[in-house]
Amino acid sequence: MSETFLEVRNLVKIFGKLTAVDNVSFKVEQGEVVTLLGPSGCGKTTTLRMVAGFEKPNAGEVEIAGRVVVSTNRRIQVPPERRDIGMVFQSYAIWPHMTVFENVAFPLKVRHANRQEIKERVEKTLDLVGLANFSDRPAILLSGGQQQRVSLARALVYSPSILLLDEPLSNLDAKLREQMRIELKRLQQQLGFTVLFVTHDQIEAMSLSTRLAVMNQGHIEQLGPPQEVYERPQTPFVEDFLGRILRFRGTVTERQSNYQVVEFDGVKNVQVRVSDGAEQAAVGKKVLVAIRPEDVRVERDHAPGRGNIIPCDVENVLHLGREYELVLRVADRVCTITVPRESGSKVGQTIGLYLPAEHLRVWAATAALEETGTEQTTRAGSAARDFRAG
Amino acid sequence: MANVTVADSIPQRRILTVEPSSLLIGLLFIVVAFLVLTPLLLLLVGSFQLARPGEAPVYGLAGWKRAFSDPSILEALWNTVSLAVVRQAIALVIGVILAWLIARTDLPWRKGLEFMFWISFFLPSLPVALGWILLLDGKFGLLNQWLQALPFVSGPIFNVYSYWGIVWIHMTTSLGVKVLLLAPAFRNLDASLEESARSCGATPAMTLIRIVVPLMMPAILVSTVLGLIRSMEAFEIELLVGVPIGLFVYSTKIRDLVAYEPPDYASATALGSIFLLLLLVMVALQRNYLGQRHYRTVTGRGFSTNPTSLGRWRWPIFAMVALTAFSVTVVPVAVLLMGTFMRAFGYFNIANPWTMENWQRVLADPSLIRSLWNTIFVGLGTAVTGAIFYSLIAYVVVRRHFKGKAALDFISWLPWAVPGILMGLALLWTVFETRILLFLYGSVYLLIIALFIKSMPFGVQISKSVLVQLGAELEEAARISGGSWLQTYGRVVVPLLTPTLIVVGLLGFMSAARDISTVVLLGSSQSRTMALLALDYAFGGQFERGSVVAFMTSMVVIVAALISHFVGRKVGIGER
Repeated sequence: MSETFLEVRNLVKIFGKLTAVDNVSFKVEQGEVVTLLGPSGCGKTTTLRMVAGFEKPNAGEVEIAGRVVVSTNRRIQVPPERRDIGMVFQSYAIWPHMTVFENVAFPLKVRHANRQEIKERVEKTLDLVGLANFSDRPAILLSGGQQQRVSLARALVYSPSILLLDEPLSNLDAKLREQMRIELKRLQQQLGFTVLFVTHDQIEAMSLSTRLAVMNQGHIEQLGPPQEVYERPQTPFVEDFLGRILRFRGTVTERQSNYQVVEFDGVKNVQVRVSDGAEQAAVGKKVLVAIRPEDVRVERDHAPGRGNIIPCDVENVLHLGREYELVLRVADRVCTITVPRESGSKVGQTIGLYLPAEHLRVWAATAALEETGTEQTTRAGSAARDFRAG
Repeated sequence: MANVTVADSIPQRRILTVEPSSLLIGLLFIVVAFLVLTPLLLLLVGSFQLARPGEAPVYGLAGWKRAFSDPSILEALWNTVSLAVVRQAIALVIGVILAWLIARTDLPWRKGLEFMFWISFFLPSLPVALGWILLLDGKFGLLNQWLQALPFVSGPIFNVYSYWGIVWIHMTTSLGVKVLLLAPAFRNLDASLEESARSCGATPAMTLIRIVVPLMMPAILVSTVLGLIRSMEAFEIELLVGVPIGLFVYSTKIRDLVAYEPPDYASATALGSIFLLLLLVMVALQRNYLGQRHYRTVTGRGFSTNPTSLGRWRWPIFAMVALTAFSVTVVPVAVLLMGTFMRAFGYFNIANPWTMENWQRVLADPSLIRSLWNTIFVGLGTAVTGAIFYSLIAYVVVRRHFKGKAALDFISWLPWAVPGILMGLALLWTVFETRILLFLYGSVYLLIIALFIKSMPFGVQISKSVLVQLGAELEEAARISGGSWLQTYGRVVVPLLTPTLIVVGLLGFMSAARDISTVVLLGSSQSRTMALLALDYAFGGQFERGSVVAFMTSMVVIVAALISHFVGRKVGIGER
């Protein structure tokens, strides 16, 4: 248990009528990077801010490095400055009236470190983030990426127990974001600091986290190593949120102990075997069958006789550069998949979509899911835009 | 074919005629420059002119010599500076704290409190001064009487007729300016700049001192300079509670030099010139300082404005702030209202202290009726000319490209640095010196000109900020569709600007209703406004009548301020 650096127990935060954070609990072990991932308004930032001490929870406890800093029952609410945390803000929050050096030295100054020590540690930290020659620059004259590094240096310079990152990369442009992501990973591996990371970007979440928690409407939907969460989503939301997804409506026609058979709506005489047993439905029940587009294979042969192949019409072909995007019609719905350049599909063709049984998952067809599943193309597209704008 | 002829005719017309818009801009430039620069230049020239107006000019340095040798003038200079600095120092410290509490913390009722300080900014000084006289007069002051009823107190505690009395009465406007300017600036500060300091280990107090105040420096500086300029403008308070005890500041001294026979214009203008130069240097320094440093905060996504929690201090602090807000607004005005019903101002112990007589007498007084009409006329005159010219200046400066654009911008802003009393003195001198304008003397038109110049910087700035927000595309679309420059201005810009024009006009109206220092030297018994009438009554010792007129004045101003607030909020002027 001494390994646990941060523990959040049953945090609740209510804003007016909205329950922004609804009974959230998790632990962060020493040296781990735990990510809170979710769409805007899911409560991830509020959770982080309660850990930091900028929001006061309505219920729950927070323990940092073995010390309870928040407990509504015991009426404990330690102010942010006494929590020994480091934080990187989305806007960087670089103080424009100070130089780079002064920005990074500030935390040491408020801790009354002596001048020599301040100089040494600031220089060491600036060197670490690649800003060794920028000490005397007014912080405001730096580029976005450099400000980001200053912000990181300022949060690391006093070796806090835990580093809180609030969407630190979302204000950078795409190339820089990628570069900083790699840099952040390198620094974390090199120094081994413990991180609680908040983001809406699944690529950042997937690549940086030791474990990630997908949040939705104030609660954690799933918490686990990124690969596991991606490959074995436990809820439809997680599956939909992480990566792209194809969904088909259907009816269960047969149930066995290790597989079930589903007939897709509108596709006559085609039955699909599904190995997923997580959410088995009774025969005759309406279900949604989901699969990630990268697990789908395009087959020239679309004869219905072979297993797990459904025929579909190519409605449109979009050239994306290194690959093609196929807009496919399956019965009454449209879905989009990307295929390699050499696949050579043409508009008007009928192709077969091979859906491997082991990658298919079955969810009970609730009304909410029906709704999100109807227009898959636009759904995926607008979600992607939301991420960028959010 | 028709299209071709139309297209051909356009360049031809251009060649044949001078573009009317350039002519208009030229005209505008000349009018503005003449109105603003002539009086100021003549003021400077006048300080070397020793002969009385109307006589053959004699030039010399006697005016300056007197200004620098007369001990009473030197004392007035010293009083001015000392009062201004003391007042600003107190107002700055309290104002920064108030603005921070209102804008950045979870103070209860902070919207309402801010609104009260906003009202206090517009409240005319004269009614406030009369209210405080009633409370703090050494003999009959209500507060003094109450305190003397306590067993261990003998003699009056407070005396409003004093140095500190002046400082105290001024707190109404001084704090109003600070909160008005600083609260929005505090609100625009990205909270993550504070939060990052907290997460780094700084306490709230340390964060305020090390992060927030340095970041607010530009706004603090601007509000200090504005406060100092307004201190220089201060006139009626010093006249009412300073002059009776022989405490002069330069504005009351100028009045003293000009108002009594024989008037000493040379000394008055020399004294005025000193302050004019002092202020210009101060304003230039401030501009320079702001220009040098990089005070652009990064605004991007993640901008948060979460209020700082005051914790258990929340209600005690609220009580303090509310008390301050009441003291600078409700208390003086309520006391003043009470004073209007008194048979003898401040005497509560006489047989029958309450009466309606003051109101009856004042309302039947022809000089009130006259000043009421004057106020309306001057107010509307300033409002209409202001709304038209200020927006035109702003439009030309923001949208049109021409040589001298920067100069026009600068000239329209210059009156900002000129205290009202100096503007009034300069105009008075201009009227006397130029002869051809002598017909304006003693007329309401001179007051309109003075107030038009005085309100110009504010009016132009507001119009500019709204125009910048509007974006040029709307007009460009109108031009593309074939509208001329003036048509575009009339059909597209003016309708979009209407709420702004109303606000600008109301501000002009308010200045006409409340202003004393700009017009005190210009108004005659025929052209005086209600504010001037109230001053004449009060300075002549007729406090009862003075308080009635002063109360009416403050109500007019507050109503106008409220209307402009609600109209202005729609277009985002002065977002609270």
